[in-house]
Amino acid sequence: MTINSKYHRESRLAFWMLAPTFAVVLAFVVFPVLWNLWISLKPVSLADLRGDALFQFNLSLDNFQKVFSDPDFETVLLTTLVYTIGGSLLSILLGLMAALLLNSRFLGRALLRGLFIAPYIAPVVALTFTWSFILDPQLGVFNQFAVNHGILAQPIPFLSQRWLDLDIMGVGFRIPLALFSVILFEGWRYFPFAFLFILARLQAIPDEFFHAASVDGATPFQRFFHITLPQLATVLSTLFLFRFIWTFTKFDDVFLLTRGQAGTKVLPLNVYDYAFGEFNIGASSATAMVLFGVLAIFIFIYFRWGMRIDD
Amino acid sequence: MRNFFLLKTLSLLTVLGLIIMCSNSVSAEDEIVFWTTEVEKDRLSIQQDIAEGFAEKTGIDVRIIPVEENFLAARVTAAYAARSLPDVLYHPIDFTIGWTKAGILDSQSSTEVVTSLGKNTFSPGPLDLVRVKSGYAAVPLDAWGQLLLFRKDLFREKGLETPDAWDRILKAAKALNNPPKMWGFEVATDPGQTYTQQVFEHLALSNGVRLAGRTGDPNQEINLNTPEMVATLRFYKALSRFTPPGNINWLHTRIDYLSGRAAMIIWSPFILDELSGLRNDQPVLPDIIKKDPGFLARNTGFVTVIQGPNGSAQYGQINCIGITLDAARAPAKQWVEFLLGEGYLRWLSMAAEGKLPVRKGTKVRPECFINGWMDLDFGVTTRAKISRFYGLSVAKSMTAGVNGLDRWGLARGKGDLISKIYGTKIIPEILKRFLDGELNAEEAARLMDEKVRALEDR
Repeated sequence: MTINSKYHRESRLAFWMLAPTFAVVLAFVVFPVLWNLWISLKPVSLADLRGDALFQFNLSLDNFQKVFSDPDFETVLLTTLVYTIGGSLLSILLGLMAALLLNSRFLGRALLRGLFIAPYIAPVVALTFTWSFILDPQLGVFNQFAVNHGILAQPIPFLSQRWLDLDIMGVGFRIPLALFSVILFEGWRYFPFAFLFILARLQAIPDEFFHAASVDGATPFQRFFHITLPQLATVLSTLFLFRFIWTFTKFDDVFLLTRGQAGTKVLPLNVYDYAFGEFNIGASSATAMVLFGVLAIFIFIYFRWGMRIDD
Repeated sequence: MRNFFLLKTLSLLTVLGLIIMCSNSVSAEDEIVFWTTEVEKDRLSIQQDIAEGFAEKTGIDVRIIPVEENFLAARVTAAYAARSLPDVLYHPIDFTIGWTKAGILDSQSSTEVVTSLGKNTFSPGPLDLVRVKSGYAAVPLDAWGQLLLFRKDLFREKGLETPDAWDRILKAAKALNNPPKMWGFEVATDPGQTYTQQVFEHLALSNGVRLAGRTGDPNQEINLNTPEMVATLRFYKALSRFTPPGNINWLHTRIDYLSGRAAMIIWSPFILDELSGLRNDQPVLPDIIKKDPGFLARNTGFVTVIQGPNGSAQYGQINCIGITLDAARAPAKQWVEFLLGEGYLRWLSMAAEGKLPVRKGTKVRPECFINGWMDLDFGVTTRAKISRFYGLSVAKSMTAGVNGLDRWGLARGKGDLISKIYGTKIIPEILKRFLDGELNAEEAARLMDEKVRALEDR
């Protein structure tokens, strides 16, 4: 009896202690998603934002049809995926390299670690402005320098040219230049995030592993591939999950660098263009739901099959 | 214990709710809120001055809220949904008709203001552009007409004619093009910039491409897939051969013209103060090289109306002042009337070179604002009168041009599409793909037509 009532009291306390968190999640996560779903199923333009039009029960799939029937939709989705995967992998790769570099002891390590964080914490507007100014084909310092010193025959419009034809040892191929530049920016801007995670994990690997391997005569590469990398597997896959989610919904970087031109249009830009370019809030919400759906599928795959490597 | 907790939660929520409700209704009876896109510090202080003059006269306080033009659409959308619209809203004409249709602007109040100020005191052209069925969607406040700037000295040297028509422009561009020292004609090629739309629309209008219907044929369907559009696209591409590579936007053309590397550009009159060397941060190289201040300004000619094979036009931007449906109508109307009356010259003086008077004078003194504008100073680092610097004839042709300013879609029932076309920037995007050779002229015209029609659907 007493045990039972104590149990009840404790579970009630637990409930009340969880309630604030639960309320916040309900108000700021669950409700917006449901509300967005509701709007995406209705014709909502600027004029419908007032009055009871928002609450009328006139659901249809018209918005989704409009979103999917856009002739550019597949290209945009593909671009988004390339951008997301490319940006995520690049930032993790750069972060891994940076972490390995700064793992050993040397003079000025603390200072360098601090500097490496800079791209991540600097304001995005300042960074994009600086980069687009540096890369500008007419006024930018990079092209000016490269052309004056004979490195380039003519300036390259990094952020405004869709395709670049390359000819390397007789083999010609084209790369999507602007998209490539945006992915490079993404990798550069977010590598410190990966760097911090990986560095923390690196420092937790016991030195004995490496000593033992050295005694057995393992080369540095063998040590990296057989000790460091397996030890990092969990943190790397977690990083990829985070970076994928955040890059997939990334709006400001691309918007500020290219405004989605020259083959860099990603889905979040479509959300913006529908809402504030066309004032079609319904279609905008529908696009956001598409983003949500793709992410849900990704996370499902990730946890269903991707996490196996940990076992 | 449990009830106590509930009670506390409930009371907290009630207090929060009260705070939220109160913050919506704190604005006093005799205060109106005015949103302005003139956000620079010195311009804001001028507006503050005007508001103080207004408060002294009427006892109504005006709260001035600066809003960046780029964020205006998003801010207004949010404010409309949240029922916190300002009383009076200064905005580009691109939004006027769409916002009236959406129920944000109150055409009745604006029409009453126009009537009370006197319809005949306005230039009829701009008023026509804001006309809706029930009167006027908003009141036009100031305007600028886009200019084609050309180097008179170089034209004289080569014996070229004033570039006011397509064939003359092309001929001159070809004759003067000598890259990289001199580019014949710099057009805008940046697909992400409104500037590109403005330059292209100017040339398209000059060939009679009008978004809906053809010249003199109002209220027709959207029609961008026309021979005139194809000709405009080809003309634009021909000009782009005399333009540097890359994405050229307003910054490039201005820098190149001011450093003497471009023979012709299209720009808004806001370039006049840089051109005159009245800004220290923007050196005018030809002046420095010739050791002759004012050399480039004296040797720059202006074309306002461009003549194409099928028409002629000058692109213009008109800024309007709208009264919202939520406004306290009487004080809002008084404020608008004050801005177009006693405060008008002070308002125009914020940037005289780019703020031409749309209201010519009062009922009693019909030309007083036009004449007053001629005497306004302009320039940033140093100041001078426009009429003195460029001569009376340039100043007069600029103010007279206000009446003929033209835009796609306006005055032919498609005004609400304008903000969507400008917002999505689909025209510059397709134009760029055409310039890059991805599409041919016919395909580009068809795609523009298709995309604009899709915008109209909803």
